[in-house]
This record gives sequence, C-alpha cells and structure tokens, in this order.
Amino acid sequence: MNSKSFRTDPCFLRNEFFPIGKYGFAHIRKQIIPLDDVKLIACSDTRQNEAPDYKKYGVHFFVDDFRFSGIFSHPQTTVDKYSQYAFLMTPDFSLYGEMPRWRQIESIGKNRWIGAYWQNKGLLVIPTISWSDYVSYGYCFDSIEKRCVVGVGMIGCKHEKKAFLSGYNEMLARIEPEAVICFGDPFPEMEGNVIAVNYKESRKKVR
Amino acid sequence: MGGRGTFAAGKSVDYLYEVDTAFSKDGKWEGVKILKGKEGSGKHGLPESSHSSDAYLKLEPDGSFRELRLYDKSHALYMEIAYTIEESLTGNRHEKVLHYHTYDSRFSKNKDGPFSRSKAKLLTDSMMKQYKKYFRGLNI
Repeated sequence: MNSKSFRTDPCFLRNEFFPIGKYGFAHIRKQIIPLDDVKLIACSDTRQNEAPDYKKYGVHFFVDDFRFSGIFSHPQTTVDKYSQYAFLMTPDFSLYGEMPRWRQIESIGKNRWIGAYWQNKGLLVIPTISWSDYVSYGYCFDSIEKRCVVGVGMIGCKHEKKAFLSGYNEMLARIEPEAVICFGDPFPEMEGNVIAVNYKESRKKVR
Repeated sequence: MGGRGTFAAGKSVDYLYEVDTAFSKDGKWEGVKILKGKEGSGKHGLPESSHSSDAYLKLEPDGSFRELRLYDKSHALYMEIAYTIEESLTGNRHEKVLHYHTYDSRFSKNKDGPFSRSKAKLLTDSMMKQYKKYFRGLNI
C-alpha cells in the first residue's frame, strides 16, 4: 500500500457515512427489529458456523472492550460471521467517568461508525447507548434516529443508580426509543418499553 | 463495555477528587469544601457536576484562591469564578484576573449542541461583595 492509497482508504478516513451533529458521528437509522422473544449472545461466544438455534439470537457487546476492539480496525472481517445472527447491538465502547472528553467522544464515534457500517451491509442493528455525566449528554445521544430500538447494559451500574437513571431518562427524552433492550436486571424506575434480557442466560454455553 | 454513569475504578466522582486538607484541618474554607484531583484520576480542575455540595473550591499550591464552582439543586454546574489568566480580559497571557463564567443547562444537559459556557466577565461589585470571603490569599 502506498501513501496515497493509505490516506484515502475509507477505513482510515471513516467519512463515508452521513455525519450527524457537532462531531459528525455516522447516522444509525431506525430499522424494524423483531422484539418477540429477544435473546442475546456475547460477541465473544459467536462462531463462524453457528448452530441453527443460536442464529435466532442477537449479538451483544457488553464485554470488555479488548474483546471487540478489532472490529473497528478490520470491520470487513465481521460481516460474514455476524450476518448469521438475528441482529447486532453496536459495540459498547466504554464511556467511563475518568476518561477525558476526547476519549469518550471517540468511543461514541466508533460505536456509531460500526453500526452504520453494518447497516450499510444489510444487517439489522440496535444502537447501544452509553453516557457518563451531564456533560456527555452533549454528544452521547447524537446520530441515533428517533424511535429506534436501543440497547443498554446494566453490568456495573447498580452502584451508580442516580447517574444511570439521569442519563437513561435523558436518553428517553432525546431518542424516544420504540423499545429498550436491557441487558441485565433493570431498575424499577426505568420507564419506557423495557425488554429485559437475563445476562446469566446469555453467558457462554457449553456446546 | 462500561459507562452509563460508572467509573473504571468502580467509584463515583467523590472518589476521583479528594478533600484538600493542606490548608485547613476540615478541608473547608468559609464552609466550602476544597477539592483536588486524586493522583491518577486525570482530574485537574473541579467537577462538572456535584455530588452533594452546592460549591467546591480549588486553591493554588500556595493556598491562594484559584477557582470556585457553584452548582444548582440538580447538581449541575451554573457558575465558575476563577483567578486565572484570561486573555480576553487582560489582553495578555501572563496576567491573572478575577473573572467568572456562567454555565446554563445547555452545558450540563445540552440538547442542541454545541454546549459552551459564557465568555469570561469581570465580577460586578455585588458579586465581589458576595464572594469575597472565598478569595483566600488574594489582595482585593
């Protein structure tokens, strides 16, 4: 690869999708998602030749970032495998409170870009929504079409209920999601059409 | 994975900052907590939202006033008074000046973006009178 081909590579520029908002995140459009009997499998448990029963599952990314960070680097390698599944939740790149703003914005950007990439490849995508503090509301809900089905994860959130619910309610107000796929037990205060998925049942099964 | 109000260290904002007891035993000045970022937290200023207090102070290493942040009932930042370099007011980048910025709800809970704070402004006479007690070590 020469210099010109490298610097004009779409996977380097990441500018092929319609930009939305201050940071130009890729647009995740609303899709019709089958919501009866939602089941999830972790991205780390997916396989190239999946068993028929698991093809009815959606893929979640509520695992440590290092387990899926390669998707952003080499997205083309993900399509065949992930196309086997009912739908894909966008990778949950972390948005921890300690992260500087640029790092959080980067996580959102990657989340959206991969979602747009998969939608462009004809896959069904559910955007995973994350936030950190009040200030993050200025970017963390961007570029999601209103009335989308969205996903949130509850792992690690039990001890930050106030901060979680603040962002969750802001999400409801901004996106007005058709449904919220909730990985883990939701807080009783969570409003909206919450579809809870038991995280233990989504764990790797011996097969 | 991770976010939605959580911290990598598993602890909330209170634990990214710690009370600075270098200048007073209780870590307060005129009833306001003096904070500093915990080593390794990456935090160098004051929080953008409060946990339970309605104000936090940051002092310079010599104990003089650097910054006061004020938070509303929903713990969102609404004003900051600082004694720092502000070129827009002094015309230079070496002279400190006492000034303030306001942050309305568009900063903490931005809906339209981009979120921003007001430009630096000099304190009014009434603000000086109201907040003077916090300006530790300043000859004003």
